Amino acid sequence: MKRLSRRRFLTGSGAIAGAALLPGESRAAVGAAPPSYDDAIAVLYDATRCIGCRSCVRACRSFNELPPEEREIEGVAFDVPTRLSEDNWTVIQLYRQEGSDGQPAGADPRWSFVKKNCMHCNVPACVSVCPVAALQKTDAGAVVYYEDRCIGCRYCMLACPYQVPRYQWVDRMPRVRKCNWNRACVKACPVGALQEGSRAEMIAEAHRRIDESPQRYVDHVYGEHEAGGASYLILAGVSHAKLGLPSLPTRLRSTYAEPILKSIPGLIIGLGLFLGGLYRMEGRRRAVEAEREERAGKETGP
Amino acid sequence: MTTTSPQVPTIRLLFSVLVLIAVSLGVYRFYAGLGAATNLNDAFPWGLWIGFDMLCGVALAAGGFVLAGTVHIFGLKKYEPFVRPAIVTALLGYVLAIIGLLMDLGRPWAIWHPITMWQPHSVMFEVAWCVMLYTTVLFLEFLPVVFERLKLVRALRAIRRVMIVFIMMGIILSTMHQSSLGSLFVMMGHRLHGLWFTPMLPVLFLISAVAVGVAMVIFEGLLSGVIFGHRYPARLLGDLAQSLPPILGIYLGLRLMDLNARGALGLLVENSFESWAFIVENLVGAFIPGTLLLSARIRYDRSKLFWCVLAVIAGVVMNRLNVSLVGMMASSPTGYIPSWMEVLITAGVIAGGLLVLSVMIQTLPIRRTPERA
Ligand code: SF4
Ligand code: SF4
Ligand code: SF4
Repeated sequence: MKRLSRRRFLTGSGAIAGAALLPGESRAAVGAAPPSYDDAIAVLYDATRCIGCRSCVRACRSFNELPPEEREIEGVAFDVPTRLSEDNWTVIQLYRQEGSDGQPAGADPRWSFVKKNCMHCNVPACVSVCPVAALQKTDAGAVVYYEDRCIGCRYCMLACPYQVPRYQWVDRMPRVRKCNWNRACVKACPVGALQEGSRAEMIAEAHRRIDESPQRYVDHVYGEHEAGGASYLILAGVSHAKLGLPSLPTRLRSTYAEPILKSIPGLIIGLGLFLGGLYRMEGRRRAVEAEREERAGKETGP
Repeated sequence: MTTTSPQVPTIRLLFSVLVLIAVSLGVYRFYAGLGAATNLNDAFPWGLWIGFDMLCGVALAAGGFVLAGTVHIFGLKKYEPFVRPAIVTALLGYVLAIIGLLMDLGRPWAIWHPITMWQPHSVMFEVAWCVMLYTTVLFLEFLPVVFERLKLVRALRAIRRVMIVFIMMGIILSTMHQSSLGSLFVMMGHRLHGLWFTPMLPVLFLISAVAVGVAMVIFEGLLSGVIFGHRYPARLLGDLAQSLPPILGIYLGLRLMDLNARGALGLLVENSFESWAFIVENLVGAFIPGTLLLSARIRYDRSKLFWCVLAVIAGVVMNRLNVSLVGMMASSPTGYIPSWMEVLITAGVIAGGLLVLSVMIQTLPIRRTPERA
């Protein structure tokens, strides 16, 4: 257990204020280095290999028994999920720069597919904010949801920096919905754009690909360091920001709340002592006053 | 001199109608789901019920711990007549916030889960415990009023003996709870507008809660004088209002320092909806009333004092709504305007609270200073 230092207690909020102003690299000043989950299972998605066939999306649907998002196009119904929703736990989106059609990825990186789903963060904001541990990070790397615990406060939705968790809004017993790391999608991919292995292996593999063909990739493994790292890693030929992936500091977001919560025991003890002391001082003054009054009463009395 | 204003029965009838409407809409909300009754969606998961019922309800209840502390810990006995009304208001405020929370939670039947399913890394966990414990403490602080009414002399004497413990617990829990509601938003840097998002939010929430606690007590004192005819001396109300300028001054100073430290002062002049919302919130809600109340002529004049404390209350309400709703608009592709059902349910909850309060004022010894035992 970490000892609550006097300075920490006194400057609780000041320390947080200071921490927020530090650049991303100095996260060590705020909390311990994030766990690496090196041996946990990670999935590497290579956007430059993806052909946008959506086999992964279909596999996810059938594995998790999720209904399709149907839309009719010329009288024929298609399953066309466009963004994450209570029934779309993973989606394939296409980024296209104005005026570019049909060139293959790699040759001219002006367009790219991107597969979106829960990142399964190493230190997930959703897990850290959930008041009843309805979201938990397993040792295998997955961030899983236990509906029997959930109270439906939806704080997880607001805290996730990738805005992943979705809600069953029109439901009498609503649940939070998101990818639960079954990885049915990985097995379904026909071209090896999705690959799974230990996190250390996948990160090494990603860097190997970048080193081998630097002209094909943006030199960044998304999910290696973002907000403390994740189990879902994304390689792309187009900058990740263009694909709608937020650029996040390496520093853990959960560390913002941590010093505040850690200052609470000190606050309780300190405030308790302070109030108790004040009350006793007050009581003594009252006693003195009462005595004086009494004496005054005796003197003027019969 | 307790002449009740003749409009009271009519207003009570109106409020009862509002409560009935809210109850039926509440039934519909549980039958059809949150999405059917509210305008909440995946991009905007918290709306009016959290922003107003919860955040404002709890802030406006701050008078309970502020007055109890002022009188019983700091020993400023002359404010004793305000303590009971403040505690009753606080108790009602919390009960209303809990009703709002029950409306808002997706699985309200699981509301007790934080008792057994611990996750102490979560601010929401702290909030849940504070709500439970402080509502209990408020109830205990309120019990003497009931005992007095029922003439339970022995129970009254027993509870008086331990009352100071409840009062201290109440102050500690309130400090934690008021600030933790601000801490909730410390995790939302990616969503909340830079004018409001700061790691200082818990401190700012606490200070503004103290200010609005005092303002609410004065506001209520003035209002119940008009409605129920028992007036507090203008002298006493004005003296209490003297505490507002320094509190608001510290609050504004901290906010400016914080904006400056984060390099966010430029956001003040970006001429956006957010920047104007921020300016109005702080000018109308803190700067103007804080400055005006420095003048004794304004402090000791009932109607001028009334407008000043009303501005302070409005300022804190604006602040909570800005943090939870306005400041979140820009980051959400859908935006959010509360549905008419959300508004009517909130209105019904408030009307219900006022109804209970007005009945309590007439039937319980709230406006009386407790007899010395
Ligand atoms: S991406 Fe969001 S929902 Fe998924 S683990 Fe990270 S914080 Fe949780
Ligand atoms: S909605 Fe459920 S899973 Fe999400 S934070 Fe609240 S209790 Fe946890
Ligand atoms: S199955 Fe593979 S190639 Fe097809 S869309 Fe999914 S990731 Fe891309």
